[in-house]
Amino acid sequence: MVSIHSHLGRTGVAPVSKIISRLNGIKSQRQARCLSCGWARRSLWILPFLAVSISRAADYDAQFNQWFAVQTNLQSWAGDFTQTRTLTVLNQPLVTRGQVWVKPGEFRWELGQPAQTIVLRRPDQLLIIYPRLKRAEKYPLDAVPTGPMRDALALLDASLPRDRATMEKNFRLLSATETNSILQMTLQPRSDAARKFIGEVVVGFHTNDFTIAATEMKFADGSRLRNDFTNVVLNQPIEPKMFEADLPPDYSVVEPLKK
Amino acid sequence: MSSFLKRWWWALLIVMTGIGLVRLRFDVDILDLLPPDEPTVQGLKLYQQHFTNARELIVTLRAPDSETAERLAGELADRLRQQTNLVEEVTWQPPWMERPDQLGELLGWLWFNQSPGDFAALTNRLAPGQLKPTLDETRELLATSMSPMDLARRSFDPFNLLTMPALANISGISMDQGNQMFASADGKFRVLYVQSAVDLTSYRACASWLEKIHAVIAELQSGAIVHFTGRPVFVEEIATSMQRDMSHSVGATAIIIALLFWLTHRRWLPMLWLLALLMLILIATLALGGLVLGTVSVVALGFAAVLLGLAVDYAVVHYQEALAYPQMTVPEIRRAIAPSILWAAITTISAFLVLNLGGLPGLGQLGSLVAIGIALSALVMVMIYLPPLFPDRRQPCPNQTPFRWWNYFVAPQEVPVTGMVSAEKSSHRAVFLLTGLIFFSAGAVLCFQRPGLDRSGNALQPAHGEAQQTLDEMTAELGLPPQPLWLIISGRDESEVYRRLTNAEILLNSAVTNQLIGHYLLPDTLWPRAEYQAANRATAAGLGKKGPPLRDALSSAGFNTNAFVLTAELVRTWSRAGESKSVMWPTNQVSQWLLKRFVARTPDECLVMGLIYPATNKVDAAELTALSRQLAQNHALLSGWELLGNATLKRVQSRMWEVVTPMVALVLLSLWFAFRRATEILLGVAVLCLSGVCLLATMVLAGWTWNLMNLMAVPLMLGTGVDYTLFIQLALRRHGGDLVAVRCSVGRALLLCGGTAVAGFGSLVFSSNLGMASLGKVCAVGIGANMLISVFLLPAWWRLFSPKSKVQSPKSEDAGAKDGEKSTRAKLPPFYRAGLWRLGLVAAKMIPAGLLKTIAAALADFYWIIQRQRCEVVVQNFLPVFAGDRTAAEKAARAAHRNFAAKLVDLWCVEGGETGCNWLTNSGELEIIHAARRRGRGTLFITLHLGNWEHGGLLLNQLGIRLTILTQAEPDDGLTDLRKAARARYGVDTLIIGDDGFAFVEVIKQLQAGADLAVSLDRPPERGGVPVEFFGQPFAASLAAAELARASGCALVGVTIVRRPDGYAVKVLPEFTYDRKALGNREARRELTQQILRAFEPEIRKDIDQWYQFTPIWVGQASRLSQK
Repeated sequence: MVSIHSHLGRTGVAPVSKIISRLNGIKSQRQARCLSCGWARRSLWILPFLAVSISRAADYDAQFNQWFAVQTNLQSWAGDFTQTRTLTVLNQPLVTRGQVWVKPGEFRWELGQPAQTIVLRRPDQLLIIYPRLKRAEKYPLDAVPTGPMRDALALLDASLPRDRATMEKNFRLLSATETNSILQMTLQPRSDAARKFIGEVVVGFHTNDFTIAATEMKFADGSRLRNDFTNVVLNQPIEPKMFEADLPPDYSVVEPLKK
Repeated sequence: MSSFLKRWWWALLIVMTGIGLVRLRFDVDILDLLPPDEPTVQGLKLYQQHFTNARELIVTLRAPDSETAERLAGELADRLRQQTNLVEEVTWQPPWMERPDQLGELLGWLWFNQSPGDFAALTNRLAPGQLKPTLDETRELLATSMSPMDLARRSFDPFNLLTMPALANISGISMDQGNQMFASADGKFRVLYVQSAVDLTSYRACASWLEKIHAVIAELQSGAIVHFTGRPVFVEEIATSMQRDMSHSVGATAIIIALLFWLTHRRWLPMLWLLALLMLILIATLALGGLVLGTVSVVALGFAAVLLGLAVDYAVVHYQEALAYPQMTVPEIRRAIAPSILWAAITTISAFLVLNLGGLPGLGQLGSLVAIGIALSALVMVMIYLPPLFPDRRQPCPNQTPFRWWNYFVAPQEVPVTGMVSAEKSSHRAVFLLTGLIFFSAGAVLCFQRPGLDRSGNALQPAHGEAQQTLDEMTAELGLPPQPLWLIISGRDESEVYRRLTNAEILLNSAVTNQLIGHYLLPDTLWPRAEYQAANRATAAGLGKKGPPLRDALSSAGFNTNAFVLTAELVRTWSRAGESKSVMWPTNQVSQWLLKRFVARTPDECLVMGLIYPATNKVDAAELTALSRQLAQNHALLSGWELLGNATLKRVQSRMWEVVTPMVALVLLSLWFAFRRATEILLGVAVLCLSGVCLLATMVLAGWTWNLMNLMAVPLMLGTGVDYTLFIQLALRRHGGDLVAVRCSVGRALLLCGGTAVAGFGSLVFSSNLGMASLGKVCAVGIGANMLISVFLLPAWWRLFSPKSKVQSPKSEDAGAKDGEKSTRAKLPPFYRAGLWRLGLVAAKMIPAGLLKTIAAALADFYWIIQRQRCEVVVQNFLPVFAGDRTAAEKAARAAHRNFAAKLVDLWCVEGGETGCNWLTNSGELEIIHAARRRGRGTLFITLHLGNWEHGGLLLNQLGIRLTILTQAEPDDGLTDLRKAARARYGVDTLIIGDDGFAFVEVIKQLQAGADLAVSLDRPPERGGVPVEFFGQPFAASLAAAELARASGCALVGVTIVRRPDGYAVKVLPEFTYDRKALGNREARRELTQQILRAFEPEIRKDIDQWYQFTPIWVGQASRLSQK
């Protein structure tokens, strides 16, 4: 479990965190006496800021935990989203609306109205359907070879983290900022191979009701993909058939991982 | 000329050595060891020549984590790139990662290679009216696709130009598959490809360049583990191994030789002189090898240690003989021992030269070098080794007959075995028990298992050094498939290559269907289609002008300039394609880096390489042979190290008969010429067989297998192992079967010789080439077994099977022999055997007489050349007739041999049933016979070994006279019976007179009854001879005729029958008259005998070349001959 304190150092309270970590890292009592003597005389004025920072960090951590607690206890959630894709080759970002339904271990992601891309996540597989092209791509999640594809799929999964353990397993928390009652966590994939693909993931949630507010992926080539969620409804029953793919017979189904 | 050579031979040798050393070159390419006409070898050579970059070093780097590995690889690449005098280029990641824009040229070129229909369709796709819909579709895909590949691709390929048939198979130009060539899946292992800026044409250049590169890399001090592989490393490793092998093996063998010599003799000077001569021989051999061969394969340099081990034998045997016989001069020792050394050298030389027939040029070179060295060694050791060590014995004895050159090839006449030392029976028993134990133990092992045959190419490969280990590690870490087979297709131009590619594909598809192969990769998509390019030029020119409208369309659709980079490069490529006049190839760095992996172009030809993956992990080379042949007919060479082993092994196996058969024949021939006795020949063969069985059993127990290199050990062991049997059995003869004397003299020498030979071959075990190491092991064990069996077991076998000794005949007073002088008889020629006589009878029936006589005359000439010692007996017999004129005597003796051969043919014809002869008779002389017979007191016909005396019986039979021949038994009892039966068929009886004195009683009775008998008088009897004068020389004549005349009163008639061109001339001498009563006196009998022999002298002089005296007839002649 990563201590949030060390990461806060990057967000602008570096001197304070360095002092804290230095104090925490002291092993020699003599060092501690000298340090405490010296800093006590010269740094008393820092103490108020220190108190504020510590308490702010503690608030974020608590909010994280509460958000994750909400995630853990969620049976389902659904909502609308606006997806913005900022690509290095385009002058303006591409904006598409969609809908999402999420259950533990499953989600349905419809992009476009009418849906041009449908992503169905099951415990054992990921299915991407392109209705206009009458094409479906199947990715068995238990047979993905190690490598960037596996990491990318894990990230896709983790971009909607359900619990802190899963999140921390796949990501390193870089920073957390709160703006307009939305707490945004900036995460960095732990996997080196995945980092070549996705540089950062940002997850934002409402601090009042702990519903998901936004997710954003920043890719290694500079492009970004952001989802802003609205009309999020929690724990409403969702029909099981929403997560099933009933593909018409004229659809071509491919398994890109099979070569 | 000969005197010039005798004086200046050493200068000539020095000049030749110098030229040879200048010409000498070393070849480290292992493929040059192999038969150059083998398609698999040709394919591998093409692969090495064109598809392995001789200037490319592969550096592998392993770090604790992938980030560190990537960072260090990048730093290392930068550092190496700065060394512009050493490095031309470093590639450490897919080149399109660093220069993605350069992919455009390759893609544009792929479009240019498409069928005109497909390429033209592109024009439609890029028509102005189609651009906006295409770009709208791209925007929609970019907005909604969940595929990272699609997003990445369409971002930079908004016009979807990457969608073409060619890219269906090479869609792997992606990050994943490109990275696979440079990094392991976990990223901790990375590979850098370093291109040298200097030519690395020699191993010295490789070593020097690598040293500098190592220094640059060492400066990095990264803490990462760095290894090296690639062609420069292999070349440097092989060359270093070669030098190490040579120095270590030669050094080790020389030390062992010195040690063994010291332990045996404890003398410094001979040992140091020996080592000095050996080193000179090595250098001279290498030089002469350079003169003859020019370039010597690195594998052939294994000759040095082998040569040392064999060459020392000749010096040791010579030296041992000199120590054993201190009274003999050096020339005499040379004369005594040279035949065995020279014949042993001939068999060894032949054995090694036979390697040239084995199908492996590298081994053939090794054989040639050893053969040259052995020849040099034999000459040097025979002529040069002893004189400096025994200066007081250098000069020959004053009365020594000068030796001719052939004397050194013919073993001196051996004194027959006399007075054999009776060794204890218990030691013989122990030897035979040991023999049985060895044979049955080895046999038992072989009953359960026999050495296998390794069909792989492992024997050709060097022992795994760093380069190979690094290559194996790289293959494993990068997840590359195991070693595929290579298919190399060549052609004059691109069109021809493409046709052959297409044909090859048909065959390969069929092979996949039949599960002969797993799958294959042929870069037909990436091969230029000349006809398509020609047809597409106009279209390309049109597309090449599409740059501005495409850019405008992109801008209108909301794309920025980043989206146009790839498209712009494609358009530029099409513009260039439209202007091209001939087949176009991509030229930028990325394209070249990719294409050179499987494409090669020279001014004269184009080559392309495909990969074929076997159906299973193990390549079944036999099944692939048929496919290989079909592909080869289509100028497509299927090759690979796995196939190489099997193909080469098949060739070696097919040629084994060509190699082993002449070796076996040579071994048997050399044994025959050395021993001329079937028993000893069979003993020699038995030694070889038992040592072979021991070798096979050792191979089974040690887990060794036969392979294409050590199969050549078979002829080597035959050729070198037979030497030990030669030396031991000849020594046993010389020492009269004295086992102790033999072991102390030759036995000790052979242990030393065998030990050095084993050391020489054994040192090859440490060779860096696995095949040479296995060859050394097998030869060492085989030769060692042969040597030990020859020294410790063979003598006892020889004692058991050799003929019993003949007791020497005592001196005779009547013969007037000197006291102590033993008159011994030389043996009759070996063809007096029933088997050979029967062969002659059959030949006489099947082959026309004239032809058979011609063949016989040629054999007689051959016999004259090779059996000079025996022929000298005849010369000595003739000398008194020619009053000492040796030239005339030799001439007559040689003619006598030819005539005797013809006489044998005549005899075979008669004994075979041809009784029609043209008798050239004188009626007056025949009347002498009739008159003598009319008296009825019996007639004793006296004849000599002159002409066709055997025909006398046939003549008398045709005259109505039944003759009985008095003769001694033939050397072979079977022959006696055979001839007796044959004579009986044409009416001649035979009475064998042996040591049985009562036989004469029967003779007297027959004469008294009026019988007609015949006897020869021109051979001295074994005992009871009387001294007469014959051709002015003392002669021990038989009193048989005079005794029979005294006892029976018979008529004595002398007859000769000699061959003439038109028949057989019969000469009847006047009847020898005598006073029967006076014959009671021994002197009178001697006088009568003298009279008879004197009467025959003119007849002998007339037809001296039909006087067949092959045993010494003069008094004292036999003992004089035995002393030579």
